[in-house]
Amino acid sequence: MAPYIVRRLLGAVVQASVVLVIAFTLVRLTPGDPVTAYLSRVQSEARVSPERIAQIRRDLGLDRPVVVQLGYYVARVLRGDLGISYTQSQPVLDIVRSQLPFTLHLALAALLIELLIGVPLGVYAATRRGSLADYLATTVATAGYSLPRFWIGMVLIMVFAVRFRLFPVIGVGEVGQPLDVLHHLILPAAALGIAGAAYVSRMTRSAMLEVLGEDYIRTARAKGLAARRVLTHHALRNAVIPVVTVVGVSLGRALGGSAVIETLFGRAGIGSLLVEAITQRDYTLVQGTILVFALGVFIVNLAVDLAYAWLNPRIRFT
Amino acid sequence: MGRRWQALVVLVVGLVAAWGPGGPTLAQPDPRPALRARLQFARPGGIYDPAQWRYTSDWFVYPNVFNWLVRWKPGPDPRELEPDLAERWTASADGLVYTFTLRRGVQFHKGLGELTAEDVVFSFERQMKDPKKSFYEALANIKAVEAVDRYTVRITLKERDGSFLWTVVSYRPGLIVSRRAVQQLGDAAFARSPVGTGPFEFVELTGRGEVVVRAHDGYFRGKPAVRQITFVHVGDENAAAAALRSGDLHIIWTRGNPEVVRTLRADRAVRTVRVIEYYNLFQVQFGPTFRPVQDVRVRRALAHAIDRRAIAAALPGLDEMAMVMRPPQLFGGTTDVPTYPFDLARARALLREAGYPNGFPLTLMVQKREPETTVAEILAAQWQAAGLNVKIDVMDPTAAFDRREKGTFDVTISATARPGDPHLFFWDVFHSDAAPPYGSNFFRYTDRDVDALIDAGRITVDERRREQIYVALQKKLMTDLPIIPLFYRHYELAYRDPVRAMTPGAFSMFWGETIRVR
Repeated sequence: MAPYIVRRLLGAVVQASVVLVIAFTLVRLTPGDPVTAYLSRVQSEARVSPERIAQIRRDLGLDRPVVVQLGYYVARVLRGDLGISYTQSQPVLDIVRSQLPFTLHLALAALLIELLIGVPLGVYAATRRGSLADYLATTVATAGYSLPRFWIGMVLIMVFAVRFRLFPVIGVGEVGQPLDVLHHLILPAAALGIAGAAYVSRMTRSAMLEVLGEDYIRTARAKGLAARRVLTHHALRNAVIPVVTVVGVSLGRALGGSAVIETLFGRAGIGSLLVEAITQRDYTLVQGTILVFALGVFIVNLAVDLAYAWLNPRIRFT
Repeated sequence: MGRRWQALVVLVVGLVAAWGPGGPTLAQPDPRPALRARLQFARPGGIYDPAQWRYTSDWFVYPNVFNWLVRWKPGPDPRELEPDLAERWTASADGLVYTFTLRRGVQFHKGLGELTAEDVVFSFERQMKDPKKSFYEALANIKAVEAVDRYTVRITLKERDGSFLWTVVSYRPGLIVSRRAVQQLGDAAFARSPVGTGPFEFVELTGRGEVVVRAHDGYFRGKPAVRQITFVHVGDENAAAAALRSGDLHIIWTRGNPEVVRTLRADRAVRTVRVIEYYNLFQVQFGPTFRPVQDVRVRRALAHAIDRRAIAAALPGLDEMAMVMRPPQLFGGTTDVPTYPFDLARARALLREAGYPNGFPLTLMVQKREPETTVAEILAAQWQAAGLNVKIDVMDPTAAFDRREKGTFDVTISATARPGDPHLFFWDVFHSDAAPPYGSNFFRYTDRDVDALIDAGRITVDERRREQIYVALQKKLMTDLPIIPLFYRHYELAYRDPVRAMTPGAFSMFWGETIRVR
């Protein structure tokens, strides 16, 4: 397995480089001058001379050809330096490092909600195929998957925060107080996880239906095993393999969706950080954040692939 | 006596001594509430040195941490100046020398000692000497800032400036910092741990993007009514309103979203205060290279084609419609100017006269946010009715800003907020020297008479004479119409228990010292 992991990690480096070049190019193709962002002139309407603007452009290295800028940037990244944020005047790595835990908390909590709702709902629907409960579960799942996360978030806020005052609306809670952090996490994680739960439930249902029709399930039943044991030990373990694929995709999607949810719930995190960075044309911060996002997705995908082998001994890595 | 007994006796004696007269007392919990307030603008700040200022959101925090020599009296309209760090001031007969007498005993936060004239000199000079500081250009007219003695400061100007107290001393460049703190920490660290003399002491900018300030009980105007204020960045207006209603936040500012304002007004637990910013003019701006609008008849036609009632209907009870640039509510404002009421027939006639009987294609550039997009749709429909072929081009604020700077647009809509003295607005938007990047004259409007009136308004010290100059200036401007006034912006201050009252500030100023609690 070790050579496989090494090969995948090398692949991740190549993929990360491609992402980096794309991010580097795209952010420069977006209309808007980063010097405007550097001086925050959209907000401050600061009066500056053209000489000063030219000086800042030189200081930031933006007067060089784009290819040269890319070369310098890659060299810095290879040294583990993601540059200095134009708008916050701090190392990008420090900023991302300080915000990353908030997004990871959110994405993992959303994933947990997806699994806790999605898997039981899918199993339940599969074991009662064609029943009213199955149709109901299918309808709920389709609705959950179709609704925008932003809308789900607003509804959760209005019901559980404003109406019943069960949860706070904004913020991430007091760092160092796990219960407070959890309290602040539930609504945004639910907003992010409900749509995913619907998808997981659909995948679980179809995988379970396929497995429940297999010969070994019939054999297990013929041996007189309890229905619950057949379901959990024989059917679910095999049905869960395609679901793991979905989990990988879900976690990536949760990372991506964090931008919307973090903005809505006024949460810190790299999602909202990226939105701000793009709005401000903070090139270094955009590039650094996208790179971290990409690495996060690669790691999740690698973990998913490794989980296959653990779940299904027939799978071998070559 | 065994060791345990000895220890017990020492403990009891110690406790008695601690509680006894003259001894140290155990700290009592501060009964004042800690509040959470939304930063007005949808972006977190992060640099709390006024000389390195970047974000409007930071202005929410500054008046709580720092003071000026002279300040705008707290309130929604900056019409009056009042003593701040200077208890009195005088201007020389020629208007070139201002002398300020400082209050005695004003203390900086964090035990950094008493404010002296040296701190004032330092606060100005560090900005005047370094072109990288935010207000280097704004302070170009100052010849010297001197400490006459420990409590007297003299500022000498290069040329007379009737707006000096309003646009420099009591405005953005005029905040006073602790010299000792800046010298000890350096610029970068000071921006994250600023020290002033204000009613609140800066505690921290948290990793969560929140700014925490704590009551400065030695504040020269008295103890603040709240123990701590945490400024929170909430980008979404709906979320901010929901957070206020749920009690997550105690004070918010909101604008431009009628639905949010309606919800807040309907909630009995929430108190709202509507503030019209007469100095914040939302306007139509013209592109410098877009040929049709170079003809004043076309600009007038566009103005006549606007039915402001439709805009008012789309923004119910919010922004105040504007027919003039600066209303009489403000110093130098007037309605005694040419105006352009809705008259479609007149608009069509003017277009014919200008050589556009069949109209012309026009792209209306607009930032993607409210109320800009709604107003753009209404304008587009109204100008279509006048015979123009209008396309709307929606983009994010940074891209729109850069295109305005480069002048690569046909027509756009945007707001210009210049509180206080009229010079700020008129110079920045209409003076020929204020073409970007020096100012906001995006049209690159150039008129010698206008320049002369603006310059005269600045160097005139007599208030009545200044007022006359600004009336004459507005007559000329409303005839030439380099912009079309649409409406004055508004914001809604909303708060809830335990806040009982608060004075809304002009131009994003959060006056923490005016908060009263139950």
